[in-house]
Amino acid sequence: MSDAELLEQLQSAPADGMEALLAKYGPLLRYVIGGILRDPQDAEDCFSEVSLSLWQKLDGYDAGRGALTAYLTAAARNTALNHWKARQRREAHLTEPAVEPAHQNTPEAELLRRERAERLKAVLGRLGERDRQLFYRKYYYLQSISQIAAEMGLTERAAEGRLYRLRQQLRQELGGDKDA
Amino acid sequence: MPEWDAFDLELADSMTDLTPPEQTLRAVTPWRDAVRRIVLGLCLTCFTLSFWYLQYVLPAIGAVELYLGFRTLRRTNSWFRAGWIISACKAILLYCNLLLLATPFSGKWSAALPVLSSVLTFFLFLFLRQGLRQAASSIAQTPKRDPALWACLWYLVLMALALFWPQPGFGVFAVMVYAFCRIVKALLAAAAELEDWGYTVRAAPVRTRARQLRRLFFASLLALVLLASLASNHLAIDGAPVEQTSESAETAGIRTRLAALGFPAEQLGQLPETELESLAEADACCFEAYTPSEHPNQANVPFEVTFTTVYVRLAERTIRTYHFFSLPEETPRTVWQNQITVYTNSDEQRPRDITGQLRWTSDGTAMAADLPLELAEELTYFGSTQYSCQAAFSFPFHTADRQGWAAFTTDLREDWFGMHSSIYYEQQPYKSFYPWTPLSNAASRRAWADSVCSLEPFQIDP
Repeated sequence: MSDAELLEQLQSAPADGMEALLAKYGPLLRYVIGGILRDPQDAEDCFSEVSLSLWQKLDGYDAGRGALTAYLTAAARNTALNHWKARQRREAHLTEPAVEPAHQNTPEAELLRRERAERLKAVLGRLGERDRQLFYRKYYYLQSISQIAAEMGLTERAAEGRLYRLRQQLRQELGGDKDA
Repeated sequence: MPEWDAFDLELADSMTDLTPPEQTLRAVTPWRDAVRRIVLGLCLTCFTLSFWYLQYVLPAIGAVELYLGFRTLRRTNSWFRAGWIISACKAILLYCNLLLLATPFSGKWSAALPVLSSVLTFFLFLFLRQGLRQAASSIAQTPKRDPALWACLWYLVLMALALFWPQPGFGVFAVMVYAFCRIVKALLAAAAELEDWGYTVRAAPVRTRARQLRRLFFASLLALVLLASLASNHLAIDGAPVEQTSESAETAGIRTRLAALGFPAEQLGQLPETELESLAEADACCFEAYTPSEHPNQANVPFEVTFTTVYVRLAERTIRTYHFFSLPEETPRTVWQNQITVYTNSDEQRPRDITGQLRWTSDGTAMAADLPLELAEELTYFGSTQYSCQAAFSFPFHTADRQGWAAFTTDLREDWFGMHSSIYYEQQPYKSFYPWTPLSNAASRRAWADSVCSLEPFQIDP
């Protein structure tokens, strides 16, 4: 079933359409979530959340703005990342209640983030396909080094080395924390 | 992500607004690289293009890609693991075969190895199909079509065609091409099916990077093939210094008489004492010196050898023929396999007392070795037997004055009025270095000389 047919079915028969969507793209969603949330229970909870969110919000998907896979990947990634952050905050709260959150959602912070994203996009556009894939795997899909290495046919050491060089290059071009 | 610092966190945060481009979205999967390699490997190993060394290069690339592909998938299920083992066997087999082809020992295995390799390839097709089906069923998916099965079946067709028509005509070749296209189409369809459920595949960690493994495989193979090829193409010759002993009075007498009969002095000087003794009964002699570039019929001969053919009459109808050859100094030392073939008169005249010698100078020392001449016979178009003596050899490296001679004795039939003989000197062109082939079966560069000696009077026929 093509994406267009799938979306049509979602309009005409939402329950069947959703079932078909999850049958086709469930493995993709689980793959994206699994890269971020290593705990199977967390991942399963997140998958349910993503499914629910898609059920509620898929009407907002505009095929003109990008492929369905891109939309689903972004939905799964962001939900899983929020899950992970929430878990981190809970753990930090339990152990170190005095620590301030690292990123605040103030308008200034949001503006800075967008500017940084624009510069990052320009830098990524200059990378080779293999390096770009490596970068996205690490910072977008948030996959572990072992997963990245295995799927790209690299040793963990080689993947780490390559990422280190990439990170240095980005730090130079974007201007990052010099002590790190 | 406990090891991340602020910079990493900022990067990850910024990426929220940067959805991966389509190309990256398609590339980030656990199976795409692996399946692409397997498909490429199967395509490269199931068809042979016998030109420009592609029959060796493409299967080698294919075998490595197959191994790398199955290596990534080996932890997904037992079929892929079996495929990984088979692909390793196939790569090792191919490595050994390519190495063996650089040596004279390849003949014994040349038929068995491709058959074995084809059988392994069939198992790889089969295991790929089974592996894909098991991976799909592990997440309760049932592929609607079975393109991998079709790939297996079309490969069987290809194997059957190759088995029954090893030298295919146009019709069979066309069917082979069609079968190959169907295999490619089926494999691509099988790979496309993974778009839906392939994300459940588990990529296995590796100890050696794909690129390193590829480099190691090809660099070591190339180095070993080169070494084996160079060693095999340089044919060992047991040379010994030419002894400068004082000649017996009898041999000296024979030498003087032969010189008086007209045996050229330079060539006479090359004959050892034992050979001179066999010419004790000589009563007539004639010769022809022959340089290809001076001969109008051989203007296009690719290299020069100076030939001198000497006929020595030992009895009324018994002639001993000598073919002397000498390479000019400018002949490259990198020419390894050399071969001479000496043809005698046709018509059932079996030559006897076949002997010869190679001579060269190494560091100022004159060296000599026996020429390994072998008698061969073949039927001519007219039904008679043509005899020839053949020897393959290589001059040792860094030598000068490369020359030699071959001789045989013929008893001429009563109805013959003369003696005809020719010599072919062949050199190995570089393109015949691999796979190893004796010069007699390979394309070669050749120079030649032929002459006729009449019996009455005993002289070279003009």
